[in-house]
Amino acid sequence: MRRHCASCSAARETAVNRALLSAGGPLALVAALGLAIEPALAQPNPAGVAAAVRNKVEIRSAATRKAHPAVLRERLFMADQVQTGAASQLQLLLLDRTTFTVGANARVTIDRFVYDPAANSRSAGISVAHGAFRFMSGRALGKPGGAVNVRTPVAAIGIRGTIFEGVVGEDAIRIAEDEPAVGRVKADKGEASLIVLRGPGPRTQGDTAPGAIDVTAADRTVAVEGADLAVYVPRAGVPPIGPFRISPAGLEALQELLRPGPGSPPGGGGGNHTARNVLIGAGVIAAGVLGGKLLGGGRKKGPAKGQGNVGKQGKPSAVPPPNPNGKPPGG
Amino acid sequence: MRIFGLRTCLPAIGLASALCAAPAAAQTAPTDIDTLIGASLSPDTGMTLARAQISDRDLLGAAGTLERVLLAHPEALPPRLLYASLLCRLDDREGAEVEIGLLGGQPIADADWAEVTGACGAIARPAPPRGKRR
Repeated sequence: MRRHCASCSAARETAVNRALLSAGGPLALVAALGLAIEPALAQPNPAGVAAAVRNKVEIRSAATRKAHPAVLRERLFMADQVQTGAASQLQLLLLDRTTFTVGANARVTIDRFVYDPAANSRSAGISVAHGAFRFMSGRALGKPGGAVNVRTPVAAIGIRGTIFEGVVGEDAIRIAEDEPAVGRVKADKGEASLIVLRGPGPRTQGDTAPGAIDVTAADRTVAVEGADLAVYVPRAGVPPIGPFRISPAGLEALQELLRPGPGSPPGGGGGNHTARNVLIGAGVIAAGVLGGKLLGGGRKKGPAKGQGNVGKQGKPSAVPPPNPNGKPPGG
Repeated sequence: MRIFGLRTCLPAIGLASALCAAPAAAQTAPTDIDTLIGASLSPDTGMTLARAQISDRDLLGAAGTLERVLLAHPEALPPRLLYASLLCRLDDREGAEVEIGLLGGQPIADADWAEVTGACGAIARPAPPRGKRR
């Protein structure tokens, strides 16, 4: 059985590090020998891979506690934090093929990721402290079951196989205030969270099922079941406003944070693109020839010297909860 | 310059080798993560991968591929049109309309537009620009 348990690996790594740091010479030597004999035990398994990097994206490694520019194909691990700048994005491809896009001006941490393709199970948790994000469940490798949650400072989102987006902070307030269903409400600039279910809708095709999410805030849970229905939590301690149908303008404003438009310059950030692509091509060929390998474990340390940032790169619930700020949802 | 040929071709060769690696899987889109990433580096190889995933009924995978392509190549028209048609197939027509609205007045080939209307039904074709929307 091949089990990708990022938390187990991190704990193992921490234990080994602790032994190396606190023990005397002989014990440290024994630990080091153990590492050499069974490297797989010493290396944490990744939760996912940086699949696209645009402009200024940094990874703060949980292992080293240092930030470095994100690099295409870089492995990300539990407790790693992604931080993006303006007009910057990262697409994180998790091992279960879930796609998590980190939009502009965002701060995101992988809290938990356990994936076992053999048992067809997974458990994942991601925290979004600030900025925009997009979550899209993966289909590959047999629709694994298990709890997947995304948390913002004021809301918890339970996922039932789905595409949804959100934004935390000033941009959430800016977009939500223009929505007729919300209007001006007292909001916290650091915590306000706008969450939008994008689908799939009930008439979806392919191997997909209609999406749904449950948004919980202030001990109240709102079921969101229908494409382009949104929920807004303006601050801590108040229940969600909605669900309400987001306007086209609101949807467009959210997309601008998540993906550059056609008028945007190509993504960049330096690095030797020619060398990078040759290496990537060689890697792809190797992957194609070998085929089928899920993904090797082992942390890849920060970017190679000189490589830099290579990112060229509902249906509403039956009884919507009351608007805690006096204005009725949908009105 | 020879290196540009290599640079352009290697991801395509990689995708082709991945697609042909096993006879039984010849019709199946690759699932290896590094192969998926490599094939998304250029609009052409990304489109090829996305179409393979669509044939494989993996619409979510195809959407993820095209999102990668559009992060790196926001100016590329065919991937955005295919992405818009995919959103319609995922029953997200509003999202498709946002994507199409971003195109401004870029000329769209009739064949590309036919794919969009095939998935979305009647939908407004962008008019020539009178000013940038974004």
